[in-house]
Amino acid sequence: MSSHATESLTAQDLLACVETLRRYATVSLAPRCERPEHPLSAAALREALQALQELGVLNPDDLPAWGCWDDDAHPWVREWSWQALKELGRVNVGLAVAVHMQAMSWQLDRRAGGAPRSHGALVCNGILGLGRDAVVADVLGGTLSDEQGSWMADNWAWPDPEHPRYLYALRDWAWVWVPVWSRDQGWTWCQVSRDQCEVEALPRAHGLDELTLFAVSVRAEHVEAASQQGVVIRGQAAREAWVHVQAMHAMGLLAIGAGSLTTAWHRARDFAEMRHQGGQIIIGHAAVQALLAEASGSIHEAEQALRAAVSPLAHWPDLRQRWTDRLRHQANLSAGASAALQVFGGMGYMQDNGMEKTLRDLNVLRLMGGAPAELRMILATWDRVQPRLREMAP
Amino acid sequence: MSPIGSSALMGHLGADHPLSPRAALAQLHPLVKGVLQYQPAALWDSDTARLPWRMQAYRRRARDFAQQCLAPLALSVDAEPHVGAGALSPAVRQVLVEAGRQGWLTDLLPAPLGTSAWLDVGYPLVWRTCLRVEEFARACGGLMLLLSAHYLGMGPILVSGQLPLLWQTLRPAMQSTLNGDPHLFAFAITEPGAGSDAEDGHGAAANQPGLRAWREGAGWRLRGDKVYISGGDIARQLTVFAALNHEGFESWTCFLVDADMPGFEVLRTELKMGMRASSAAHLRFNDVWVPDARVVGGLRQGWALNRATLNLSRLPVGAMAVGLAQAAVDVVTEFVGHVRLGGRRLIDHQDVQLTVAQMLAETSAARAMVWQGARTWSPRQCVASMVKFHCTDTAMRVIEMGMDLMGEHALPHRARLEKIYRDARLTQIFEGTNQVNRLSVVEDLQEHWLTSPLTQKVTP
Repeated sequence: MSSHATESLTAQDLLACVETLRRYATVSLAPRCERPEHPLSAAALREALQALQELGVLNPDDLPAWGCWDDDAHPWVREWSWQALKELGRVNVGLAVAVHMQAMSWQLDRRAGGAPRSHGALVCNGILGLGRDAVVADVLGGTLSDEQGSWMADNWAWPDPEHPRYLYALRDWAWVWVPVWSRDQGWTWCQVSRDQCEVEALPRAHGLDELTLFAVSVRAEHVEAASQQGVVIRGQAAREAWVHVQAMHAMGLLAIGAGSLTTAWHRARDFAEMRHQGGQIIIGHAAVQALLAEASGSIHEAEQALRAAVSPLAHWPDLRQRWTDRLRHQANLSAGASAALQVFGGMGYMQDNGMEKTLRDLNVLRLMGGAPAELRMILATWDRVQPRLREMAP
Repeated sequence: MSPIGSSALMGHLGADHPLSPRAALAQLHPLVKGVLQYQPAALWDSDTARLPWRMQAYRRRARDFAQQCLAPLALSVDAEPHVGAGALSPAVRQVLVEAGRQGWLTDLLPAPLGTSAWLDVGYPLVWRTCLRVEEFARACGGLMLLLSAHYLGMGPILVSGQLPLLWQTLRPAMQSTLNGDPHLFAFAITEPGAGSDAEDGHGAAANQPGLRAWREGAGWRLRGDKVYISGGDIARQLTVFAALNHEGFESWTCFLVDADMPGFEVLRTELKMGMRASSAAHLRFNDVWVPDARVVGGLRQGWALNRATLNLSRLPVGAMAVGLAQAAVDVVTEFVGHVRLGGRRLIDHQDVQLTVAQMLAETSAARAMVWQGARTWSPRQCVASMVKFHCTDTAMRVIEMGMDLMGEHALPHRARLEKIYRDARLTQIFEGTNQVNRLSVVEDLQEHWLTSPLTQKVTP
């Protein structure tokens, strides 16, 4: 979204947009997602993406406007983005992730000076996550040690069949943005067409049943062409794009998770107010209250973090804070989903109940944007490196 | 052999370094060295070596069977399309037949009622069960449940102590199974309106059972439903708990129902999150007539049989969880041992070593808890329940740690870890949710607490 497009927005506009989206999600989407054991088809997802374009959630135009992640630097756009992703996450996590990835992919298209390409996709992680402590030195603009440089070069190398990148996407994706890093050039974002890639679909992945998990590598003979002649973002702009993508990714996954767990918590609470065990409705039992509180507590904490991220006073992208929020809250959302499932007992374990799908989906969200074990190391390194760099600054 | 290889990990001294513990122990006085020195070996081997000789052999046999017959099928069976009630895929049928031939479906008792070696009879039944179940679960949670639910179904018959009934049921079942035609049992307590209440005395006292039996001729008519019955659609005989007409849970009676009795119907099997090699069946009893001779343990003895069976079965659920946690440790150890970035293996990083060590310690502690609780002929309710909820919660924590280490690499089905997670999640639910099991601990200890001098000091 350009500044001229957002300056005229008011809180009322935003609330109206959220309400319109909620109505669409409730009336049009939710009935199609009533059978969790039968995930939305790819055709239905494409249809939903089209409808979301018409609603303005996704903006396919050349110029940024009022679409999800169009201009993440603007607080109103961040507010709208997380609210929209949360609303979609309440109904279907796979669709919400598809929207989130599409929106980020289109932002990269615009950053590269081009028009948004349909059927675009985006890889956010390296071969193994984010790049551990080495990525911190790079993000903060410090000097990488030999070992850190070696790690970065391996983790963010052009993916080959031995070392593919994982991609959750609709099965008919046509383009994918791939971030690569090298010692001499730093970050480069390359948009690669599917026919330049080795693509392996990995069936029965842990969650996001509506999407397909792919192992993607770029054929060696196409690397040169993709990096030299294709759509590319280089240098400082590429690093900036990488930081913004990671910040949006952390925020988006948290919003989707909060939305999904909100639905699960409502269902668990409604069930607990109806189910009779142990001589009373089970919401009267402390054991059940504790489970419900775990779920609702993790939703509230995640939403507080999201609200703080959209404050006009908040720094952005402030990747350290985004990753701190992710570390603190994304795993809690998974735990909350597990607690909500437990309220249902054996019923929660059955696919037609839907709680097990929520749990699997939230597990995926926990892992796909940098897993907690790695984030802990990253944040510890950040706190060690940043003060040193400040001292060294002229 | 170590999945990692190489003589030393980064941050550690190799065994041949003079300052390594291994080299240091070799310098001890010969008399002391004989006691304190040990040869490096996998933890599994050193744990096994601490068991009595017969149990060592049993554990090794269980691992061999699991490795050869269960592990190779784990992923493919999990990925098979849902088969209809009563159907078995050829691969699963073959597992059952082979398990039967090797005696894994009949070794609760020795000859002439089972295939357990007489020399093993001196060791508690539940201990042997835990050893076997852990190894099976490590290979595949679903196939483990397929084989173990059968023993759960036999539980009330064993606990009844009725020798004629044992002779009439277990002996022909054993003969059929050994001849390549597995005769399975299933345990049917859960009802649509009574999940936890069937597992907890306080809940049962306030609920009314749905499945009812009323007198007719020289037997009883059964009417009602049971749900989520593991293996209920493929069992040839089921131990079914029903209340006598117009009475509550205190009248619960166990009936041995043949699957071919008129009126017995399998409505459907569930699509489950995990443990997919084992079915969970919704059963309907449309006025099934059961003769008096098939009343297990006597009228109104069902609640006792149920609780006694749960005391025996909750410890093995803890063992299942240990097996699944161990499987996660194995998957993660292999992963961090072979993935190399920046010129180093992942396992060369200290934070990765810390996590793997934590996973191992939690799994070992859970195993120790299972073994400690299972070394008895009469498992105590509070111990069985503590083992069940603590070990299953521990397993989930261990598996999540492993997923966090592997990141996105944990997500593909072929990576195994996501299946282990899905399988393990059931252990926190069945045999009483972990919440009910916590209350079960208190139920068992309340007499002691209430009569303890400490609780007599009432503070106003």
